[in-house]
Amino acid sequence: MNIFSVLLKNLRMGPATLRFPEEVPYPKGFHGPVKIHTEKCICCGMCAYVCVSGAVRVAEHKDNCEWVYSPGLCTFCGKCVSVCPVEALHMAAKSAPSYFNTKALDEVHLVPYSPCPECGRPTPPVREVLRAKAFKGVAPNVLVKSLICQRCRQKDSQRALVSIQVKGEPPPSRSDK
Amino acid sequence: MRLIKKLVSMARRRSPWLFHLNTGGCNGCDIEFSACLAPRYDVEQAGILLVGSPRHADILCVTGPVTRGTRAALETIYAQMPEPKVVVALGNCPATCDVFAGSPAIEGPLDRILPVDVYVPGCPPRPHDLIKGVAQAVAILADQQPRDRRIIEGVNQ
Amino acid sequence: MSWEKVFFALLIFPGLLYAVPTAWLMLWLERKFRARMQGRIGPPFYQPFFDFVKLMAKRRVLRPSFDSIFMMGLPLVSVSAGLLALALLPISSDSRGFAGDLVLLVAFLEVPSLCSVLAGFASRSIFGQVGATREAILSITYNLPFLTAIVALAYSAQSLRLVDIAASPAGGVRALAVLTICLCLPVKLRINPFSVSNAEQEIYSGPATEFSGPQLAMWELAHGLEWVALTGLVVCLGLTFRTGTWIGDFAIYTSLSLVLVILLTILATGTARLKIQQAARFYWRWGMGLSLVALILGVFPDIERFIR
Repeated sequence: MNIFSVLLKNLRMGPATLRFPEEVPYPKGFHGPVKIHTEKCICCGMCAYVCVSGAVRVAEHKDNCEWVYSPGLCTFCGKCVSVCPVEALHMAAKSAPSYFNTKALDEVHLVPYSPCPECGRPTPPVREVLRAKAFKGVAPNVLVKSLICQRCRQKDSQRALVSIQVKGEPPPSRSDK
Repeated sequence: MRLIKKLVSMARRRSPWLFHLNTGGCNGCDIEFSACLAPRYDVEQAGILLVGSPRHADILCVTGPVTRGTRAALETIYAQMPEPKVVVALGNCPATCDVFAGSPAIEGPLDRILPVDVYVPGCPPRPHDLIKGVAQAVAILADQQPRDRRIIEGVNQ
Repeated sequence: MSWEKVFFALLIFPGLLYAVPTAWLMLWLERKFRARMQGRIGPPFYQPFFDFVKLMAKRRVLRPSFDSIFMMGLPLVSVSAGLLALALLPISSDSRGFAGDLVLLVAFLEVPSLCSVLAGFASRSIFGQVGATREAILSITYNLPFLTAIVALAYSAQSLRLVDIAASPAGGVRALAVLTICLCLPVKLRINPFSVSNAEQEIYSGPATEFSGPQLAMWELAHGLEWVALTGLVVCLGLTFRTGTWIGDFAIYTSLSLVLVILLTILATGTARLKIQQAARFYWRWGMGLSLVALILGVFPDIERFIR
């Protein structure tokens, strides 16, 4: 007769149901769709690299990079958020609404490149957060080089190699490039 | 006549019967779907009923990317449902195949095979999102809305 | 019985006009009460009505190899058998009935089950056929105690008129017979411990699996009418007095039927489905035992007097 006492208890206590417009609050740390702060992004592509289902894609162009996200492909695992070195990504606290067209939810964000301080060519931006993390305790004259573009950095290191091989000669200054 | 039409629309709004079909997904959406039927959410308060036969159903709820094995069953079940009917794609799998995309065993996404009316995003969606998606489907069902969207779109996914 | 009375019984009370809303009310009460016992809110009051309207407004799916007249006819026969059975019930004290109406009533009460067996086999679906087979087996099983109890009632009242049986004095025979009929209610209504024939999740909806739209609406209505007729039968046979006024009889009859619905719902919610062998064993052991005792007491009234 145990089940009948359970039934009577349910009857006495009333329904445990939420009436329809009422909603369960979203829990803390809910994994909603991924959002990006484009002013923090450094276009490293780690998010696209770890994404299991290819929901996040990063395409590099000449003077900007394109961060494409389709929530329809996302599994909301949060891997991209955890690997992002500059904390440019976070997950929305609410889930996406239902839609009628498969392409409706896709998001495209452009991350503009900043000009290289040496050659002036557009280069993926380097943010203060990254500089603070990666170049901790580095001499200020080297820290300047963290802002330059990849090509300039290669040239710089080649020049440094040459200067080591040819002994006694100081590394060439930037002006006689 | 208008009164009857109004009554029918009201009835469709208040008693949508669901048929639930998993076309090879991971079962996550199915678990959330069963949570809707449980006491906490209890969709029966809106007259929603889960039926066992597609011939009784108004709304086809599909979870999972459509695998090669389930495609025939899916098409049969859709054909067996009497008009008016709507299709709800629950979760990301029927919308885009999600992690299964590109597999040779997958025939999906769902809109290659059936005209889909509502997509509910999420992997899995929360029970409340499911209920909201079904509510939108019910609105489409009641108003007999756009028939032109029901034409099967091209195979260009 | 004059023609006006027949039409009144068929179309107004306890026929169409009374029975259809009551059927919907009972279907709703069953769903609502079950939901409340499971801790849910349950469907709103108008639910069975809107289900009916919605199903009636559905379009037909064209099917090859499908005898549409037969398939539409079966649920209609089922509905009308329920209405006819209701019209025969001796609810108020001024109903007269006719000789042999008990036999007719038992026949009418059996028609929905027969229709559902036929529908299951006609639908050519494997689930329908399994359901129909189970329904047929169960029908043999429960009809044995059911009919024995009816025979015991008729024998002790020395009449085949429902009015005479309803007016016969209360006693051991009547109590046992009505108890047996009560035992047969869950299986006749196909609710939970004996929902073998329309076992949902197991064989979908049994014989009704292949029916859609208006045909399904008719099945639902027939099922509701079965609720009204069977609970009404138990109330009519079990109630040993009549108030004498039409309103009083009506109120007592309706409220007792609803109480019976609630009791059956509690049973249905608290139990799980039995296997068909278990159901058969239950009916042949307990149902048969009870009804045989009732029959023996009915045939030899001296025994009851001796016990007293």
